[in-house]
Amino acid sequence: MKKKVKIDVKNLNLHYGTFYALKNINMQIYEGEITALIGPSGCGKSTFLKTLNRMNDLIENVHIEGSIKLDGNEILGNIDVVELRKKVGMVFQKPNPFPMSIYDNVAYGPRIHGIRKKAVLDEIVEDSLKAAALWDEVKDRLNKSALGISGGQQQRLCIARTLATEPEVILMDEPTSALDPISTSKIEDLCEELKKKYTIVIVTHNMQQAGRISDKTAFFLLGELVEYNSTEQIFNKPKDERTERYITGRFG
Amino acid sequence: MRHNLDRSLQELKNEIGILGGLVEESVDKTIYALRELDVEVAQEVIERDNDIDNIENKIEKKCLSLFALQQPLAGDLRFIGSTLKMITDLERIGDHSADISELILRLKDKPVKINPDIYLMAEKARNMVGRSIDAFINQDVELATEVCRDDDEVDNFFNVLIMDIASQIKSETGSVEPLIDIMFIVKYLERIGDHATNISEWAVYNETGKHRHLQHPDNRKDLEKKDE
Repeated sequence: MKKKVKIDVKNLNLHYGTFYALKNINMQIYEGEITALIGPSGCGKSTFLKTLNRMNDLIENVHIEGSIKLDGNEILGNIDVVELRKKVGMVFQKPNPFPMSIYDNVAYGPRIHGIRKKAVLDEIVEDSLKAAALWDEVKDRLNKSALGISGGQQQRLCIARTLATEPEVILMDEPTSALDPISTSKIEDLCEELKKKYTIVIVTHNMQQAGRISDKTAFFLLGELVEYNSTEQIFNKPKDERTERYITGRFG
Repeated sequence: MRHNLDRSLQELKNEIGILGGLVEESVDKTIYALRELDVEVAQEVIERDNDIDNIENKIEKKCLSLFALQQPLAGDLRFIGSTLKMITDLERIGDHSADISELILRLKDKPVKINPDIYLMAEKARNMVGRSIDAFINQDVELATEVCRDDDEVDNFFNVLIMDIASQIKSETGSVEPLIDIMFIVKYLERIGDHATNISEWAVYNETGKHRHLQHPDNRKDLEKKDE
């Protein structure tokens, strides 16, 4: 039962001006799995994550070479980026709900993609909030401001907002670093649930979190992909000395 | 860089050394008491078994608390995990020394012919214990593998001695109780060899990340020194 490759990265090189940020990355991300990206600050893991839905396009002086294929289709070339980001959604470190109602936050994406009918939107909003395990907590105040709910709820709202556009891949950039342990465990449980339908790539500084939720772990260092293996292997007996030093906290 | 954890791991290593030392001493004294039928030394082994239990407890608590507070991973995780397992084997070796010593107390003043092979078996088992502890502390896979191989010899002694005792029991006209006691001693010695093997297996796990049963020659093929 071989898993299907969802994202196939080949010889990926990325420069920010003269800074060589990603050095010849080769990596296959599998469908229906949670892949964790770990490594010290500045190692390139967030840069790598952002290349997966072309978020780096917004930065000046970026030069990218190589190939990233989503379901076999190249995404680095001249493609419809909005369409790509519909398929590859993103959840950020700090919850960033729009300053509008809970309902409008979730309906925002579908509306951009041309859905206008209220009945359809209602259904999408309810389904997305349910999938993000937030529905029961907010169903009676959908028209209240999204800024009035707790940080953990806001983050799940952001996940619901991502789900509303029916993505295939969800990128998460340290989604729980600003949350308390209870909200964190809700998001982690949610990831476990979401991976049945979506492919998830998550950047995390929390080693235990990577261990708890991911199937595979990739260790980045100074722009290189040092080791990529099953999470079990990485956390029990990493092959590379640098991975061992990093995850045991002895990197200096 | 995790000074706290490093300090705790060093303390843990020292304590394994102390526990290992006590267990080796207990086995040494037991063998001496067996040879000389020295009741005083046997008594001492029985009494000192408490110390072994206490230190094992202390190490166990420390391992669990390191899991809870430091969330060890990779090499640290393997070291603490294998320590938690191997101290049980050490403690059990101490128990078996005390068990043998109890029997020595009973054997004193009872005329019984002891097959001298039992002393060879005891020496072999004692030697395995010492080397398994060294292999664990020094993370020496080669030595650990040798210890596992030696367990075959202890098992051979066991088989031969048990057959011998069985035939003695058949021809014995008087009391067979001392012979049964000797039989138990042989069994405890065999168990000591098994526990030394377990410790060696944890030493190999600590270093390689794989735990396997190394008594079986097929399972240790790739670890053994190649004979040219």
